[in-house]
Amino acid sequence: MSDWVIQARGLQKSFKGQPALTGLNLEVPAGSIFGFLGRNGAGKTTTIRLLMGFLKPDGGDARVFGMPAGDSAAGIEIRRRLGFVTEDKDLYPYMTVEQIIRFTRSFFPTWRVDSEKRYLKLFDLPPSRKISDLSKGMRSKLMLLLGISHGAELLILDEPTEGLDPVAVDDMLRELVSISATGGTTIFFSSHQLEEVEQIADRVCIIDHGAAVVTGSLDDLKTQYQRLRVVLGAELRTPVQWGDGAEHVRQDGRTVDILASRNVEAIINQARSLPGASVERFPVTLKEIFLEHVRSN
Amino acid sequence: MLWYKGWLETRFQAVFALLFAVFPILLFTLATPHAANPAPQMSVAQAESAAGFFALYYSIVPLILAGSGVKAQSTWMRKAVQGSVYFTLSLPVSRFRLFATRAGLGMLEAVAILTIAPCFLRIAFIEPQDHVSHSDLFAFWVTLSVCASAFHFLAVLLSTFLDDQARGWLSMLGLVCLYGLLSKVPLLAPVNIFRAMVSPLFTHSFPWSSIGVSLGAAAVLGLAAFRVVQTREY
Amino acid sequence: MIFRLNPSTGLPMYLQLMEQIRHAVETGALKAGDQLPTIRSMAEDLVMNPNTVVRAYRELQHEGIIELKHGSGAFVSESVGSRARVTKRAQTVVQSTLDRLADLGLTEDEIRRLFENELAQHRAGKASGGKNE
Repeated sequence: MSDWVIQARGLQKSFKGQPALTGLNLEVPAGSIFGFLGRNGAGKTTTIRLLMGFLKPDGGDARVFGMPAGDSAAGIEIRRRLGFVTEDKDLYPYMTVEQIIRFTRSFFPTWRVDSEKRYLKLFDLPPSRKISDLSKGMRSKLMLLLGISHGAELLILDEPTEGLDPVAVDDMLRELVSISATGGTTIFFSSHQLEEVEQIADRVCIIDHGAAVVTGSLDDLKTQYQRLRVVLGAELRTPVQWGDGAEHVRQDGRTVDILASRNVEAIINQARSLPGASVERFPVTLKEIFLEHVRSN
Repeated sequence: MLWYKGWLETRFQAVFALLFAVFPILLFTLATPHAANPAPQMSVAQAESAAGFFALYYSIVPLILAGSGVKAQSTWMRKAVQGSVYFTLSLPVSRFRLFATRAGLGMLEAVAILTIAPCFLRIAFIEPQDHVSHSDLFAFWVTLSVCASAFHFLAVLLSTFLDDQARGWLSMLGLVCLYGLLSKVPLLAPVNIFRAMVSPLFTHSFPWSSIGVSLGAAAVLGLAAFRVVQTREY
Repeated sequence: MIFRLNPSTGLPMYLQLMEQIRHAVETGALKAGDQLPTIRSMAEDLVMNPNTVVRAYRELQHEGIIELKHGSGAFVSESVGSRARVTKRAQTVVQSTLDRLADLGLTEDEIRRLFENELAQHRAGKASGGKNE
């Protein structure tokens, strides 16, 4: 599909011999809200830096808007069309809110003053406050304002809700959803907050040890993944070889807990064929999917 | 608005450089309270040597103002400024433009502040030789600026991999050592750039070869510094 | 109309939304011909992904519960009135079944799990095209 806003194939990157990305594949469709999840050190920020052209990959390919991410000429065109919120939310501490808005505006002829004013008010950002006096959460909002106000088609956000209190988190999520609904802006964000991702993302990718371990539509994942609890008639002497799709099996006495990623029906039938067994199904949360995948490594 | 941002980042350095440049005037005014004081008589050799030292002093001005644009500039809130490089790099601006603006701004500030050097000579009535005209002083200022640009871009190159403090001290140290080397070693006398800087005051003409060499060196160093910035990973 | 979804139950959001809209129709909170919130306002109010809202609306259209009129929005189907009657009858069936299960001595949790399990089997039975044991 040529409508990928972000596309990465086999991305590799090492720092001083330590591998950070070991062959990452990523496809972000236009108009989606894409959650990028992983533990600290899994490779999220490295991936984002590669997409932004701050780093060049050791191997593989990364494209944004169909253009090579590391290329200097293409990079300028790419950055004209996207908004970015950095991990540490560092801006120029010697500038005021107003100054940095004027400064950023000068690079974008497509700047929307109505957006700027709206977000200034909505995010409660005092124009004459020095950036060094802003909290991390407020800087996060300011960076988002700067990204949205020039009409970005893509927003790349590195932990956008970090440092925000629950009300501010809700405000920001609401705004992201609104941006997505209004202009079809693609939103790519990395996060630790699984609940937030679960709430607004329609696609997710879980990265672990530099590669994607789970990827796809969130709704599909929740339909495909099921937790099965099998209660056996009697404890088995020989352990069962569960069918393909049984990702994580735990047995405690006569109870077997299975996290199945596919072929759920086959596994249920297999369970039912055991003497005296009864099977129950439970839906699976994103947190469970995440923990199962990053812990097993 | 990159120039504006650059100015906000470097204004304290610029003020410091200005004070540094003005300091000899203050010293002179305090030390010699009477106006219209005749300058002390010196031999040509002594005058040349003193002038060389004078050139060294003012060569420090561009060192103070050097910066490469995408590395931490100010020591004030260094962490935040270093972190802000990601924001700068996320803008639709080429690394070349970022570099050129910053290096260019530093050079412009240096050239502006260096106008104080010939002014000082005039104010202090220090004429190393008779008949130093205004055009000689102008030539002196031009030569000083051009030769100092070589030092400026050397410091810019250093700033691509050193933080401000280290770069500052290292480049000053380097400059002083160079001066020492050039003045003490008779073999190197023809390439004494400090002498070249002040030569208009003595020869009443532009030292074209020194100017050419300095511009060449500045260009090479500037290019090297840009290459570092261009290929660097952030 | 006030809807409330829980992203952390594990049930996909679009299914939850569909369920809530169906429930609103069944209880009469939404009547035949009523207009549903726009995709955008639904997404903003619930702070959920607009594509998810789209999916829910489409599936409901597929089921005949709502109609998507190009340009004007989403409306509850006219034919939904008959559905409400069916639902009323079903309600009586469930009520009497619950009474009987309670008489058997089952707790509320047991009854709920029993229904969920049987529903899941029923769904699977339909999907595999045959009857389940």
